[in-house]
Amino acid sequence: MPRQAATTFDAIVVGSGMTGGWAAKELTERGLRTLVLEAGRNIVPEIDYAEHVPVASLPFRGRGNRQALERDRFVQRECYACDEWAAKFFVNDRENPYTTPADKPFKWIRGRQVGGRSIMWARQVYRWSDLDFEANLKDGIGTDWPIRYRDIAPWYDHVERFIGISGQAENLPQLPDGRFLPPMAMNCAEQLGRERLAKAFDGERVLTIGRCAVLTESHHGRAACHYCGSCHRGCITRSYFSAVNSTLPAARLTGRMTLRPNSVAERILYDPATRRATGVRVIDAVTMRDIEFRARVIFLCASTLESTRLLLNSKTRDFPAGLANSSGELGHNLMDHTMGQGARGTIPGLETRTYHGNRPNGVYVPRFRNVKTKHSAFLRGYAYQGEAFRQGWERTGTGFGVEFKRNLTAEQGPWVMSLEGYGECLPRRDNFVELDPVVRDHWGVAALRIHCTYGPNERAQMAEAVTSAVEMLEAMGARAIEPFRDHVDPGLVIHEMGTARMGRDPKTSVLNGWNQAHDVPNLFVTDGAAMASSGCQNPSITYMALTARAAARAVELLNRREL
Amino acid sequence: MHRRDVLTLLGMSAGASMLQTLSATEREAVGRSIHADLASDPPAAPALAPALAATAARVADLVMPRTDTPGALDVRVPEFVELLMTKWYSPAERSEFEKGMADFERRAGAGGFVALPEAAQVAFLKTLDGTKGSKGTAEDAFGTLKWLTVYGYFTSERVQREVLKTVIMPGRFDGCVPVKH
Repeated sequence: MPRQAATTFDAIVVGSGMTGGWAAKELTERGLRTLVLEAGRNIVPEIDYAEHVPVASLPFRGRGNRQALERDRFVQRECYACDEWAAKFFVNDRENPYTTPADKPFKWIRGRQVGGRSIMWARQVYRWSDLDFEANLKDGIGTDWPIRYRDIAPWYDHVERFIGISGQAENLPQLPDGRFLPPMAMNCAEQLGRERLAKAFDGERVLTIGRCAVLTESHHGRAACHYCGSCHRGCITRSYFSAVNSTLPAARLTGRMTLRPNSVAERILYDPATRRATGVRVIDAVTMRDIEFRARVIFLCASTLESTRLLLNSKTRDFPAGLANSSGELGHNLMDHTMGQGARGTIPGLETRTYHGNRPNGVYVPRFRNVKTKHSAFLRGYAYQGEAFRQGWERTGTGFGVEFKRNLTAEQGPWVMSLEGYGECLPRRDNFVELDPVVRDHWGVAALRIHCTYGPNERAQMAEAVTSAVEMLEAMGARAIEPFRDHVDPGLVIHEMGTARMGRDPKTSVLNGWNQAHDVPNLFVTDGAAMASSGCQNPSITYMALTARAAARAVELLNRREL
Repeated sequence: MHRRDVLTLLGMSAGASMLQTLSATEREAVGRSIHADLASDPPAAPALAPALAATAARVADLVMPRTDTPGALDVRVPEFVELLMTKWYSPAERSEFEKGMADFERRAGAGGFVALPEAAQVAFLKTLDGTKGSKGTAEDAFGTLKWLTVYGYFTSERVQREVLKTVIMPGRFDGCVPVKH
């Protein structure tokens, strides 16, 4: 096959999304000429963003082109954000196959484009605390994190200061406060819920406004939110954080970034003599030709499972089970979170009050289990995400004709409060990914076979998340409380993490405390693959902080000629 | 390489792996072919039978009649119903709907629903409204039509603008304000 001459950079970053953007920014700002490889197409906000397209102008009025989705995005369509506006930001499942055992469904939600899934993410950001970093050690599960909160705290600060997080400080040890912009307002029912919950649970359970990467005031040249409410379709004013809106422009500004879309990373090149990674071989997604790029340091930021897939596909004579896999742990200890368990009810007494604007954020009840006292039924815990809202015309109800129409057009429905639990998953070796022996993707790269199930600890948490939601709604004075127990396959929370875990011991972990491969010192993996446990917090801010920290470390080591 | 061969290839479980054995030019052709295929819309199902379409339009008018605000017919709800029936619902769902509408016409009385005087039409719909019937019944078909009417009505351009007065960029969020009538 014809091959172009290798091109050499200081650093290569594989992936341009949540973490790739951060690696690009930090490496270029520290002086490295950096190539950013993105498997998918380029994104031009002025052309691709769709947040202000009126529902009336869509062919299916927001219900989506269902037949096309069933044919081309039969996995992706299970994500709420894969709607008629934003479906184009999700991969084509026919071009991007993966397999699972029949009895272990896993829903892998992916975005292959410049900005990756940072374009459609739900923007919730919660710091970890030492309750999370010490959990594996204390429970004797998995491997101990090689870092603690003090190691990452300055990097949380660094990331939050740059991207802009709105939120309310609560001074809770299990959920450290960050560098917050002013919080978004809670609505009437949420304020009432916060007060009643504080009284009923003596401060143990707190309802707070979501901490989110959406600007409540202008910040680093990006405008404050205008409350259109549809961030996952893009944002022409750059008011929420995505790599396209924030980190990639910063990297571009240095003049040291080369961003190459349509570049499918096929394998990491490795030199057994120096025991260093030497570059990346990509398939140009347009021409289908192979190209090799060389660099002194390589950052994998392709997303949890894509980074691990790339390492598995990069096996050599020295590493027959996948590059940097002398521990045999590569691919193992896959985690997601749980969701779909909770309750909703109506909040009476506020019928003359409403809200104005579409707030792209909800409310949050931080984890309260196994914080101060040990729970008898399970380890770790869960947090709630929720919101209160007034029902609109979608409530429909009984009737038809003049009075029915008057009611739907002129009156708002009841206030509804909804709380949904998000639970921590334990790392288990038997939740793992491997290369499928047969299936390859559209570009000829071996596909993953994913084995993942929830275990007994997750199920015990999920059961309790329903009863705790009911008791909190009761405390808030809710009526017509309906518990819900939705079946959600692993993967669909889109917090998949693990498979190249950090650890202190090269025999039991893939990465050290700097996200650096134990076996290949100039190779860093800084996306969700690095996680040794899952917490119950939305993980992106932790990935970003780890990436910035690892980039600073890599440059330091390069400058000391230690890579 | 012909398009049909490509589709056959992709239809095989091992198909994708065979791509590796192709030359770069052939792989490019496969890619182009797939993308061309992705760009095309799936074929539409046949239009609703004229009598069924007439009944659906009459039901839409009764559910959301013209008052001081536009009615379902003013904002072309029947066209939206037709669109979903031909391009959105699966063949199985479409056929259940048609079966339900046959039940609907039969139970409406001799001559069918459209031929009834308005008072009788309203009385008949009241016997169905709010009752969750099993698939293929008049109750189920009316439930579908009612929901499509409400959905098509409120998502129409004119109702969004004149009735809901939707503001795409509100510019601020106020969490607790009095309801304005």
